[in-house]
Amino acid sequence: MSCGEHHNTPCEQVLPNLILYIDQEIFDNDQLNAVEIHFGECLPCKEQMEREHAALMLMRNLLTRSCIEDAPQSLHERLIEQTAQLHQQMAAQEALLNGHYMETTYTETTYTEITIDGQTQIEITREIRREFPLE
Amino acid sequence: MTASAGNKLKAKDNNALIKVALAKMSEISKSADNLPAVIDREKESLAERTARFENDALVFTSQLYSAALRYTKNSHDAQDLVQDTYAKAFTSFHQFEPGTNLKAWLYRILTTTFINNYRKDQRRPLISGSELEDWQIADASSHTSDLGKSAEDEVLENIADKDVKDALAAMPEEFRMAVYLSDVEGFTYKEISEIMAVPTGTVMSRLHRGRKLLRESLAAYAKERGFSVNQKSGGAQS
Repeated sequence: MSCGEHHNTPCEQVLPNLILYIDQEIFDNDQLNAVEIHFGECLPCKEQMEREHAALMLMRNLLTRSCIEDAPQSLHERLIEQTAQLHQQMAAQEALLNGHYMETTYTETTYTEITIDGQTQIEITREIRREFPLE
Repeated sequence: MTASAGNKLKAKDNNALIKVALAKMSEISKSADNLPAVIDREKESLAERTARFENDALVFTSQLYSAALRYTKNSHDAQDLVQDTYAKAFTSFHQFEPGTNLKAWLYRILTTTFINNYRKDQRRPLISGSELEDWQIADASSHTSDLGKSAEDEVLENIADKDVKDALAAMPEEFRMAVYLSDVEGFTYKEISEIMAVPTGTVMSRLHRGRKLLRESLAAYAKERGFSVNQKSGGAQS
């Protein structure tokens, strides 16, 4: 249905694109000009665009008002902690990849038990290894 | 090094590393005026990249959390989702091209992570192919006079935040995301198509139908609460 008047761009071509115009998603300048010229000539289309624009703005305000919340402080803290941990892991990986080997400390404890007849030996070796990235 | 090995070392080394990172950060901020506009990622050190991440990316925490709440519908999952998102974002931050849209990049990670790991029913099929039906002709082929009247505006303004959240939560996921990304976050169709990894036409379809659904649903809430769309101004409150 058109408004009955003659326009260079008929209402039937403008109306389906109203939402594109409202969302500012018409990037072709000729097309954008044609739509704006049409609004200048055709009051029903212009008013409908303005109503739909106002309705969308209202819904956006409602949504924004309802949905924007502050993240809990504990989440902010966890993210800082997580970033520091990941940073450390990546620094260690980077150091290995670049061939900067870690300074390594070994602590070895050896426990040896020899039975009275001297035939059975039990040896327990424990090793603790620590790595520190080189600064 | 594995993650668990890294965690064991954490207690001792973390403080030292944080001090180094903080020192580097303060150096960077002191010389901020001299920094070139284009960041050379080849030359950027890990400490510099970490500082850039903390400055540029972590500021979106509350925004991402708000979106995650609408995606997951509960605070616990939303917090986990944001944390996972930032872990992925940090470990691939070297791939992010400085100067491009960081917020959209983070939303893409958030959305992909949600779809892959948090969706309650992983095998639930996406909305059928019928969503590509002509979104344009749905309700916009002729002049109408019943949309967006001021009386209806007044009615909708009286709707409680909780009703708005419930109305969103009841919507199919794809519609809910499209509406949220467009109408709360203000992303363009193209940005939403990148965030949701679907064609722009699909974004338009989901957005159009999602807005329509939401509007109908809000009107229903308003009616339930005793606000009438047909009442003229002054009669909007019950």
